[in-house]
Amino acid sequence: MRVWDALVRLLHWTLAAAVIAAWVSGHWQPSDFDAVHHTAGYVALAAVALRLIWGFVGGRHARFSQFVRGPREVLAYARALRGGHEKRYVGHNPLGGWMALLLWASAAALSITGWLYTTEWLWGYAWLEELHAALGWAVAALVGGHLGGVVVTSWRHRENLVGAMFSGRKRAPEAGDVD
Amino acid sequence: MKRLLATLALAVTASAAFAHGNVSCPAMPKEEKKGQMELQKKLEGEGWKIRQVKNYNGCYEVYGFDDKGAKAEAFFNPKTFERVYPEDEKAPEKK
Repeated sequence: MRVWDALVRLLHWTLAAAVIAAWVSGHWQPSDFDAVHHTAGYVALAAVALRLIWGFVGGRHARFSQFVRGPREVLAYARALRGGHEKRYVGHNPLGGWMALLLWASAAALSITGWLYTTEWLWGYAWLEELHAALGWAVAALVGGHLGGVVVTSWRHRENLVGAMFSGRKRAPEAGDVD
Repeated sequence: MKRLLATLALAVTASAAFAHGNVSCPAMPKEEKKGQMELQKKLEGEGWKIRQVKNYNGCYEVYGFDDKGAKAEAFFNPKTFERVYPEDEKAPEKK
């Protein structure tokens, strides 16, 4: 069944490509890659902004109301995961939903601090440069966690989640699955 | 979608291949270097506004606004305080 709508997939891969391009160009010191780095940052911020709007008006599994779960459910899911008997979620699982929110929040903060550094107001300050770099590592760590979650969940439920982010299709819910 | 990703990956790699040269200053013993604070004072005396000075590839790297008020990321030789330009940035003609 179709779970991830076209815009969800497009914005997912746009953000992924922008983050990779920004990472590469940002670590190519000192100033050779500014244009690529800045463009990647604006693209990432635009992708996150659109995704946030889409979280309210998009397809069913794109909506925050569908996948942002309360702390009790998140905790219960984490416990079940440790025990190896967690339920399969058709959309985001409770941890995956929060991972997505954290990724968008940190990517937005990263883009905004980067843009602020280019303004005359805050250009050149060491603290902002360091904050931007720290946020870059935070995003990198979250991306690592995201990839780990994708691998573990794919393996646990015998489902290719990377492929699902291309095709949009996932296995229809079976008995015991959560929508 | 896969083709789009492949194209993007290629674009990133290709642009990496076109990276310009870096900036660097000759290695020198610590005693020969003048202080960063001294460079900052000198530039401020010339009308610069300095927001950060740090080491980069043997140079002092200065962030701020130059004597014309333009945003500047500039490199200086720590001994002579001569400005050093990266290869992709042309030195302006001498006044």
